[in-house]
Amino acid sequence: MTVGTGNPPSESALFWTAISKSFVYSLLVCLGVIVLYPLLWMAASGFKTNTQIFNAPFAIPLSWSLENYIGAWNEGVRSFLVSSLIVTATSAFCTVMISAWTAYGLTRTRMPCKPLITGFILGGLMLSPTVALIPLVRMMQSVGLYNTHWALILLYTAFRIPFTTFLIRAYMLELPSDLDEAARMDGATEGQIFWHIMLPLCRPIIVSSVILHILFAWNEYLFAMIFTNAQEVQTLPVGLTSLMAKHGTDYAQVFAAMTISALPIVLLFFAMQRYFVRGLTEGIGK
Amino acid sequence: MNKTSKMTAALWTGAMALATAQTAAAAGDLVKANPTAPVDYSGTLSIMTKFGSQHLSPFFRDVVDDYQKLHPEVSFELIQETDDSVKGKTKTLVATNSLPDIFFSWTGTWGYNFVRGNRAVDLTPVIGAGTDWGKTFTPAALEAFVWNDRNFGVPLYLDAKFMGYNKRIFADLGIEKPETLEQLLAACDTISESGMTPISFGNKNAWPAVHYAGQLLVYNVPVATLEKDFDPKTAEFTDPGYVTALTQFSELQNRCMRDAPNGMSYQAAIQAFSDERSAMYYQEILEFDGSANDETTLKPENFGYFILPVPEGAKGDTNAIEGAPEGYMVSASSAQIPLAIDFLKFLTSQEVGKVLSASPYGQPSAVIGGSDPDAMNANVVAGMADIDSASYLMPWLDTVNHPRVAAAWLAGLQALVGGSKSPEEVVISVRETAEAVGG
Repeated sequence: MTVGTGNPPSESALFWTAISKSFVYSLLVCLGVIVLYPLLWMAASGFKTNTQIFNAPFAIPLSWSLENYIGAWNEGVRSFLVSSLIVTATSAFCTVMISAWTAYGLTRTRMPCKPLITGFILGGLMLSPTVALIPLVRMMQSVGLYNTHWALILLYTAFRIPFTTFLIRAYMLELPSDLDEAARMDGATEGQIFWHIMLPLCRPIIVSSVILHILFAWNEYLFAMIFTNAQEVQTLPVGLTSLMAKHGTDYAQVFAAMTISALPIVLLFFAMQRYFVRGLTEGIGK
Repeated sequence: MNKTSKMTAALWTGAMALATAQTAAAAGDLVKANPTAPVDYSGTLSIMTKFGSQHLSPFFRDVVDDYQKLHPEVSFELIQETDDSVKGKTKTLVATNSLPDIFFSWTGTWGYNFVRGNRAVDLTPVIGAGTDWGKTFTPAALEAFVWNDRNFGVPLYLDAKFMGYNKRIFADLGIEKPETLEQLLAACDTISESGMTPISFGNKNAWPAVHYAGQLLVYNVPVATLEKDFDPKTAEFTDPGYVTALTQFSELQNRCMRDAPNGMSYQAAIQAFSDERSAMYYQEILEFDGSANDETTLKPENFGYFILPVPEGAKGDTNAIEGAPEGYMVSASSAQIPLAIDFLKFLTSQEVGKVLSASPYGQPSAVIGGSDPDAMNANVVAGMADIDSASYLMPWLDTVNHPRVAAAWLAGLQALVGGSKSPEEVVISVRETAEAVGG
């Protein structure tokens, strides 16, 4: 081992290091402001009145009363939130589990015609939801699932499986085959290999997939608008539009409702962002 | 008609027409209502409303509850949509042949698409002019749902456009309520000199300019010519009144409006009026309650309105008002047409009309005597009287025209407001579009 015996950095080098660091920190602060400011502005607008929102949209609220937040909660946001949670959580679980199994089959087994099957599944990415809308409505009506949470759960799962499979498959291709081969030689079944070896190893991409699915299902509007009628089964994106009256919209209450609806998703992202970034950067390469 | 995006409405209209055409084979022949058919007070009646907003949704829930008290064997499936979502939902339900028994409809092209596809019951035998039920409606409202000389819709409430103004500001500046367009322009000059915006105008959504144009068009172009031009097959758009009306609108914009209207939303414009930052705002009667109330700077006692004044020498119908009713139709595929009609009769009774017209709903009932002046905003009562006495209800240009012609009006007038087109160029673009559509 050698010990550095060089001269201390010159003043000029220190100066440029400080400048570059300042530049990087400034850039990061700016990026942080760009990301956080709209969220904070939305939350703050929930404490204002219509007049304040239109006349001084960027000013700090004059009072911090929770009246608008409570009003929004009682105007139906509570019901929309519950529906969103049910639909999002169930469809996320179904999507990720089915996709992980599919990806496992496509990457770790000796299935015939794998490229064809992979192409078939990924081909689902090209199916536009809008084009499929009318046959899907007929289908849901005929099986009695129209205007139920299950309609949305099934649709969200079906339409997200191709993309989620694509992500998990790419991640699994990166994993060494020695591990599952060793397990197979030890007599482990495919199910045991999947549950006890592959799934734990795929934790980052699983978390990423869950977050991506949640972002999709939480904000999805078209299916939610078409496939639900009753307020009890409507999710947040559709429910929030009902707060927007043709005349005399209480924008402060709308902002409060939007903040309530965005809060779970923002908290989830910050809590899981480590896995999210890692899963995407490691899995997206293939 | 929807406030948030009438352009979207026009596009949806086109899409719905396509869906209707695609499934026309599934639709049967014209179904006519039978006034003597017995009503079976049992089963489930499905209704799609446009009262899905939190503010309006209790209305239908209460009406349904009241009806069920009279007929406990009848149950309801209420599909309450908002201004925007009702378009997409309707389009999908039409295409899947699953329209509810009773469904919401606008007048104009939107409603005609249901008629053309035989999706709506011909209600002429029960609601046509001269029938007992038909006599209970404001004639102009009933007439708006007539196509091919047959009644297909039940008007529920009326809407029309008026100029709201701030009485206090007018009084402070010594301005009288204008009687002619020229007096209005002079009033604008006086208000401008005081440093205030005369009329707040937000045209980001394109339809606000269409509303001004619609009222000025009916003043300057004979009604017969307008109605001929609504149909692309007979449209000519050669009457000089078109250019005259748009020139008057440009003059109004130059002298009464400020800033860049195409960059301002209509919400911001009406808020400016409610905050007393502008002296006038051109609004629908449905907006009277929202423009001035106890929570706004402009208090109800300082709110006044007038019909957009008639220009001197106008050659059209000077007693017409721009506006249209909104209402409901009965699905031709409904298995319970007599029950649906019975419910609609209940919905359009004077008692229910009074509830609809009063606060908090504030939707002027289309039923004669369907309002209680004591329970209503005095300006709304007076506005309803003006609608009743109007010689003609000028429909919204973006719903009465073919969707492509409507789009030409919207785009052309936005360009006129932005200064990139002249009145002549706007009329030419509309004429060319109508010619292309009419073949």
